[in-house]
This record gives sequence, C-alpha cells and structure tokens, in this order.
Amino acid sequence: MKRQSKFGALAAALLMLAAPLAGCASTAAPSAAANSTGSTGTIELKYWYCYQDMVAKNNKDLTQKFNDTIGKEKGIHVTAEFQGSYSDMNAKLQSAFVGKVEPAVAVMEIGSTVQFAKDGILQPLDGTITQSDIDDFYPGLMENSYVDGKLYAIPYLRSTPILYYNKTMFQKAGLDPEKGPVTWDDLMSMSKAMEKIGAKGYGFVSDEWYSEAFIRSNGGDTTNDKQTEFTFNSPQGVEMQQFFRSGIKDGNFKYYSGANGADSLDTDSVNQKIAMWCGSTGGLANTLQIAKEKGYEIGTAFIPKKTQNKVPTGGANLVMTSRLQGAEKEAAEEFIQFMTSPDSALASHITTGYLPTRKSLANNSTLEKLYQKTPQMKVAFDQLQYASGRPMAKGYEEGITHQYLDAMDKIMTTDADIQSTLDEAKKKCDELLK
Amino acid sequence: MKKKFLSIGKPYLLIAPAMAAFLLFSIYPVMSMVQLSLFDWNMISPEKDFIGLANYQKLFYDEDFRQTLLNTAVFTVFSVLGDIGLGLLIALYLKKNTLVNRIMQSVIFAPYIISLASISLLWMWLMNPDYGLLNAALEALHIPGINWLGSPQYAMLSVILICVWKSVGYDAMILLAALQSVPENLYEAAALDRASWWRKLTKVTLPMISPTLFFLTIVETIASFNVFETIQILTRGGPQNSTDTIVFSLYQYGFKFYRIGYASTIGVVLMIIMTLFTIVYFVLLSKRVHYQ
Repeated sequence: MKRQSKFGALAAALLMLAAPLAGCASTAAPSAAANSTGSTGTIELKYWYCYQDMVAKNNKDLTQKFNDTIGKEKGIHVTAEFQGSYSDMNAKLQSAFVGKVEPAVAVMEIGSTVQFAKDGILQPLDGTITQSDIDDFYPGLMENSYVDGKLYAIPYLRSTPILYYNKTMFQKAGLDPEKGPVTWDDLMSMSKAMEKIGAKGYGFVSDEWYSEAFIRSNGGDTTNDKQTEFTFNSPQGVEMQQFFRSGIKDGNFKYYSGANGADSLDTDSVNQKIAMWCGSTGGLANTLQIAKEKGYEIGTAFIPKKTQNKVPTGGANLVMTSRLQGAEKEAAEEFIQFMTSPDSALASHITTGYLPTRKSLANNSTLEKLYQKTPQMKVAFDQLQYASGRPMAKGYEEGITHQYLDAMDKIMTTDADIQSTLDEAKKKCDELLK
Repeated sequence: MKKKFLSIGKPYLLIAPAMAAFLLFSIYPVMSMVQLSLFDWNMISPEKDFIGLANYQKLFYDEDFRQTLLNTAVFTVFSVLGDIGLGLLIALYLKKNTLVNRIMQSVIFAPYIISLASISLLWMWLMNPDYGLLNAALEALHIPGINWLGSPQYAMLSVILICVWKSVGYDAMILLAALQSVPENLYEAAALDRASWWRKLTKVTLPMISPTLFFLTIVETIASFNVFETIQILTRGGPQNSTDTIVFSLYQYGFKFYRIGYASTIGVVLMIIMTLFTIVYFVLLSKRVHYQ
C-alpha cells in the first residue's frame, strides 16, 4: 500500500514534468496549420492589416468579396486580422516569423520592405504579376517595391501626405475657404488669421513622414541619395525647424508633444480648435465623415512648399511571406492580384481616400463624378506627380524616430540651438546607416 | 545499498519537476540572452555576426543608455519611497478597526485591481494639458497649467504619481495586516513605561513589522526596476527620452529596431544590477530585520 502511494507520487511528479513539455508541443502544432490546406480541401490563408475605421472596413470588405467570388470558385478562404499600427505590424510580423505562425499575406509600410526582404521574411513576387500589370501602377508608387532588383511588394493602400484645413473656420476668419495654403508663408499668415476667431492655426507633431515632406519641399532631404548619411541638419533642414519654431512663437501654430500628441491633435481638429494640420490622404474619407456629423467642412491642399512641390509617398504595399509554396503560394498570389486589381484599387480609393494606384483609372467615369462632388479626394492624386519613395536603408527608421524626432521635440519645446541640436542627433544616428 | 540510494535520490527526484521547469524557463533563457549579447543579430537573418564584447563597449559609451539608467533609478527610488512611505501612513491611519476604515480600505485598494490600461487612459484624460481636470484645478488657483505627460520636466513625475496612486493600496493592505499582528501586550508594556507615541512607533511598531517592510522593499524595487507597461501606454519613453527605462529601451531595441544583440546586452546589465541589489539588500537589511 505504502509502496503504491510512493509510485503515485512519482507518477504525479513525472506528469508535472511532462506538462510544460506537452504545452510546448501543443502550441507548436497550430503553426503548421497557420496557412494550410484544411480537411475539406479549402486552402486557409491569414492576411494581416493595419489601422481601424474606414481602412479596416475596406480590408474586411475586400477580403469578404474575395472569399465570396474567386475564393469560392478556387477553394481559398482568407481570414483578415487586425494588427494595430505599422510599427505594431512590423514587430508582430517579425515575432510571428520566428515563431513560425506568420500570415501568408500582410500589408507593409513602404519603408520597411528592404529590412524584411533582406531578412528572408518575404518572397519575391516577380511571377505574381505581369509586367504590363506593373506598368499600370504610377511609377512613383513602385519606388519602394524593389530590393536588389527583385519585386517584393505591390502597391495597395498608398498615400501622400496632404494638408487638411477647416473651411468653416477659414470662412469665419475672413479667408477664402476654397483656397488652402500654397506656400510656407501662406501657412504662416493663414494660421495667424485664426487669432481673430480665438483658435489656433496650424497644429503639428514631431513626425518623420511630415518632416520628410517639409524638408523636401524646401529642396533638402533627410538622407543623402545613397542613404549612407543623414542630412536633416542641412541648411534646408535647419530652416524647416526654424520655420516651425517661429510659427509657434509668432504664427499661432500649436505643437503637440508627447506620446499622445497625435491623439490630442485629432481631438483639437474635431473640436475646431485648430484650422490646419497634416494627414495621410488615407484618412480622408473618415475625416470627411466626421466633419459631416459635426457640421463643418474640410478642404485639402498640397503640402505647402518653400522652394518646390516635393513629397514622399506613403502607405502600405502587399507582401507575401517566404515559407509559402505550392498550392498555398498560388492561392496567396490570387489574393494579392485581387486586392491590388484596378477594381479593388477603385473601391479602396472611394472607401478610404487612399490613392487610385493605377493609370487605367485615370479617366474612370465613377471617379470623375466623385471628384465633381468631393474635389478633396483628388488632391493627393494631383500631388502624386511630385512624389517619390521613402528612404529604406536599414537603420533609417531607428535614426529618424529615435534621434531626429527627439531633437525636433527639443527644438519645439525649448530655446535649444537648432543647428547644434540637429548636428548632435546626426552624430548619434549616422553609424546606424553604415 | 539500494535503500540508501533511494533515500539520497528521492529528494532530487521530487524536486526534479520544479527544477526542470526552472531550468527550461529561467536558466535557459538567461543563458541564451548572455550568448546573444555577444552577437550582432536581428533574430531572423541567417547571418549572425559574432562581435565579442563590442555591444558592451557601445553600451558603456551610449549617452542615451546613461539617461535610461538614471531615469530608472529615479523612478525606482521615488516610487518605492512613495509606495511604502504613503502605504505606511495610510496603514497607521486605518489601523483602528472601524466601519469607516473598513470602507476606506476597499477604496484605497481599488486602483490596484483595476487594469493598468484603464487607469492609464483615465489619467491621460485627467492630465490632458488643454481639457484635463488637473490643469483646470491649477488654473482655478491662478497657477499656469502643466503639460504633465508631454514635457521632459514633468513626464517622469507624472508617471511616478500614477504608479504610486495605483499600487499604494497594496502596500497599505500588507502593512495593515502586519500592524494588526503586532501583539497588543508590547504596546501595553510600552505604555507602562510611559513611552511616547514616537518611541512606540520606532521601538515597537517598526521593528515588529520590519520583515514586511523588507519584503515590500524588495518586491517593489524589482517591480519598479522592471517597469514597462506603464511607460509603453503613457509616454513610450518620451518626450526626449525623459521616461525611457531599462526594460522599455530593451523592448525598443529588440522588437522595434531589430537589434536583439544590443537588447540582450541591456538585459544582461539589468540582470547584474538586480543581482547586486538583492545581495546588498540581504546582507545589509537582513541584519536590521527582526524575525519573530
């Protein structure tokens, strides 16, 4: 009897020992089934997307449409899963790949493509899409798609930064509501004009994308051509910081610092406390809808220029992960083709405000009607001719978000010397590009 | 012979499951972290460059990391002091078992059980520079408003304030339990000797609850040193690195900038600091702790 209880204890101990191991095994199992052929013969694929509101609606609607049409016909079922912001997506995609639970297809912020392609997380898409199909995309949108000469990403929800302004407030302040600011000087004087109605003019945060846009519109850039060195401390870069700092001091600008600055800016724009701000064209449909509910009108304009109109493109492309092969790869290719097709591009543009990515949509009658009714939708597209890609070098993201934006925050909130603050930031992050 | 082997082997056999879990989930990750700290790697790329101690060298000269260490130290010292100091005051006040005090106990403990995300959102709203309640109160007193979480001068203070507010209830409860378990006859004896209130506190109460104080200090220090979620939600290390702590920067390097080698180096340094802390605590404080 006694002996038996001893054995029982031993068995229990062994069981406990085995439990964590069994746990490991069972968590590893679904990874194989993440993107797989189910028992019914249907190919199950995971698709990861970013951002909420209209953008989420667009992703879900298009996925549903795919499942109901091509998917049904060819036995493919795609599940769309929300992952947060672009940087959340990047962190999760990387971890998921290490854990072998990555999705088949994902959206990818255009600047991240090189990193993920070089790490072997993505696979080339040269066979997915024909050359004539590629030629249908605007060339500015393809700049971030190639790594070492191979195609890795296909334009999906693409944007340029644009300037949003509150037409209703413009009218109250005695400005022409049909004309947004064209130059930096306009931005300053129009912002100043808002003092009359007790509101702030231009609201902004420290942000890498809008900084790229404003430096470029002043004839500079954040890096040199080869992306081996940061150049945000060039005279053009310093002049840009000077412009914003004097805007806070004399131009009725409002600067939002801190991790939640962008949220505060959104709140202020909805409550009509600021009259102008920068945003992606991808948020246009949402912004227009909010404005309608709240009873004010929104206008859009190019990013104001100092010496030239020049902006980066932005947004996300579609990519395919590298472990897919055979029937699953073909299924993922079907899905990518569907999501980036002219019809889907048109639907995405109308639902969200992201760019109509394809030349074949240029004279589309649906769009012509839409632009007559809401000309705001056309601004980003018109600006596309002045747009080029974003820097993609490894280390760029860390340098620009970790050092440059901190320097900008310091410049906007203190009297620190601009040139030396930017020089110092450059010194800290230049080695990241080597 | 066989019997002897069993009697020696049995204890080891019995602790084997726990040891296996410990080795697998604690020792193995620590070892691989130490190993990773010698490489330049991003977790995925097939190229894993061995660079020896270069990460440590870089970390040693990294100004941002020095700022991070300082931030973490400031956060730890003030949140531990705040938690335990305030917790003790509250516990002393609530010691008398009345109805009001029992209600107060629940009220003070409540923030501890609410999720950090909800609390952070609540405080972000209270601390909003334009619409927040705190600045409205300051303005009513004709004091200019503060950009609580958005300025380098006040961000750390604000984060500490929120953390202390959240966890002080836990410390107060533990200390209250300790206070109530101090034998009443000790106070009676002290009263017979006409000991003052202050003497009773320093010569009876504090020594008697010193094991609890010791326990709380260690637990709170370790928790504060490892602070992450609060920073992630409230400030993301900003503005201008003013609230960037060791664990948050480890996360940023590892999972945002894909430099797992450098992140591991920070992890190793963190581990060394924590080990030193624990040793110093046990050597110095345990001499002064009164166990019954």
